[in-house]
Amino acid sequence: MTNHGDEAADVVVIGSGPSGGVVAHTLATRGFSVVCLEQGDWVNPTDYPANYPEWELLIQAQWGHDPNARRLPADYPLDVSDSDMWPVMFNAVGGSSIYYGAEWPRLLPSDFRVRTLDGVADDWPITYADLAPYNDRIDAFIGVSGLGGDPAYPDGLDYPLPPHPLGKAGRKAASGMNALGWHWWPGTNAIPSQKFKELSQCARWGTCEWGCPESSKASSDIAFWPHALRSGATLITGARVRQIETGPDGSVTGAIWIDRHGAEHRQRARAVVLCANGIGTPRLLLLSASSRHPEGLANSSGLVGKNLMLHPNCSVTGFYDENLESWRGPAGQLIHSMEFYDTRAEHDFVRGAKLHALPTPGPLNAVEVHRALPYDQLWGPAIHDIARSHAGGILWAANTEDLPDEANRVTLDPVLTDGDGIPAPKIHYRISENTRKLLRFAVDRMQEIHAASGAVRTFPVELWVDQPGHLLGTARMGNDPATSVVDSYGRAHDAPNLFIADGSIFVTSGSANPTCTISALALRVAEHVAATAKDQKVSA
Amino acid sequence: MTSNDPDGAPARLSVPPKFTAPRQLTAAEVSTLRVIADVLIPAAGDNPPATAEPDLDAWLERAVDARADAFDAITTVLTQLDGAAPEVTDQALRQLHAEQPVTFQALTAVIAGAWLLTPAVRERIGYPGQRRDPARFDEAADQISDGILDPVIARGHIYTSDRTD
Repeated sequence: MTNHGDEAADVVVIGSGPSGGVVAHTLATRGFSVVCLEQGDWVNPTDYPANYPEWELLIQAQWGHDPNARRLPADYPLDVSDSDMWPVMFNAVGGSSIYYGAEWPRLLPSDFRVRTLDGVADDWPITYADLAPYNDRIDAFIGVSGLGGDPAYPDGLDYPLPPHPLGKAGRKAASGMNALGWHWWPGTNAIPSQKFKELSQCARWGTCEWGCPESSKASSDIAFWPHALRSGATLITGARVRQIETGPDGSVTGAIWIDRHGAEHRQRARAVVLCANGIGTPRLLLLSASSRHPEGLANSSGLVGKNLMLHPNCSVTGFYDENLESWRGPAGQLIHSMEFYDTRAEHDFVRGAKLHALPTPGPLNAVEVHRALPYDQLWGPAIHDIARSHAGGILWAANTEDLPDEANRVTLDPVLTDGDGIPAPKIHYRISENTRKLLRFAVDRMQEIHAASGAVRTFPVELWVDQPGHLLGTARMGNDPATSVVDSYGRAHDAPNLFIADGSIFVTSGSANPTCTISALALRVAEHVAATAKDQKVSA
Repeated sequence: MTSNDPDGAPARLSVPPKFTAPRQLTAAEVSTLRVIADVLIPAAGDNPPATAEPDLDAWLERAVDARADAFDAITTVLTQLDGAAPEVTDQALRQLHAEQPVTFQALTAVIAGAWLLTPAVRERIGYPGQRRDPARFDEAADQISDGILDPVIARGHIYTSDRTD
């Protein structure tokens, strides 16, 4: 065991994704000594599959989204044998934002008041108005592109950079929405439409979800980490944390981590901020059980790992008899719709879905979509027209709101371990009847949109089993220590110098893509850590 | 790119080593692959068959590398179909499609993927490839300034109040 320095870091951050990047930067700029432990390492823009003409083949296996298939040294396995879906993530500097689509919608006001408005789940301990200023500052820091005035949101929402062009595909999708009289708006994306700080102007490669070769997507490695490092934060890569240590009084004292050679290290800390995602964070809390925290760290409520929410995705890909230049990005969302976001009296389910239209880059990807057809409608003479169809595709997809359910949870697998012998997470997840109805409803609406836009063929997928990477709710925030893991500032009820700043602390999932909210919450958590440092064992 | 440091630790933790097939395909395997390619992608109208593309073999090799994860499954099929006539190959592919979808997906992705990488096919289907294609400064504004958003704006706010505002 190597002990790092006589001095404890003011703050140890575990995980370097969006929340870790925000927390490290925010605290480093305020003079705190910050050490971030990241189990992966850097990925260069030249590494990404889009640099190669055979990118569509590369993303089928070695650059896939599923860590169980990809199995890189930084990855850890997930036991999904008891789950209806396979959560995905990426383990690197930048975390899963390496592979996210950078769709950047905020939660809506109703999301924070689901119990009050709909009589289900719980209210958040904060409101839309509480979080909006943090959203604004994050948006300004990373250069979010969008069009202000979206009537799906309260007045005052605007963005620092103009939106991306809708493109032919976006305008075609919008035409269907207008025909139906449904809400749509130019897509909001954390992809700068003009050069912004370290981020290049979007060059519309269209491969956002497999890494941006242009460095023009606000993944945490380029949106936050250059600034955090310049501000004095220390980032240790290849550092897999296996335990957060606690002292006799129950407060945390640091973390034990394993380097890429298998050697153990101890990093002492006056405070620890967990930013390891909605699966990695509860895994680590459960791994950190001690005599003082026998059921796992910060788990006196018994809720660590519970209420896992995954935003089940569905989609309908449509093909049109015209050239929509569907290879052109960003992807990223061209347009989004909040038409069916909230509960409606006429529905047989509560809450709703966010819909978004994307381009469909690549002819092999178009072939893959058509595999749903009988053999002779894809192979043989038909293949030539199928190949040409790539230029006329639009993907309508939906995140559905996933309500919290304690039965959906992350536990420690009794058998499966990662490459360092650390117990792997086991995912217990079943799709609820409410979500099933919602998925079917969303698919039906997306079929209608394609029909209104003039699609000649559509391919519905009622559940994306291996998506998304929206990992939420497993260490929920709240005011009552009996029914929540952390308070509204991410501070663990059970350990005053332990904080959580990732998607684990969501109370409900909404159906907006969550990284926007995760980043704003992380800023709020980090500023609270700084503001209250003098009252605890965190010293600037 | 190497997969390990001299002391045995992985050199890149978050980047896969570039896939390479365990060996080159034999001449017989390439020959079988070409028969399969023309069954899957035959001549039709003005469209030539897959093997009419002069670059196909080179791209097949690259495609097999890219799906090296499925190399054993693919070469097993090639061995089984060694020397088979197109009609026999067609029936075998239909059976593979029905009974071994994972292997069928990998085999056909490699063949279709290689075919779609040949310059003539990309030209024919109008695919420029993924590439730098930044928007003009006023392109976004042009595309939303013709009234396309008017009905959305005219409808006004649609969000549900949280009863706190």
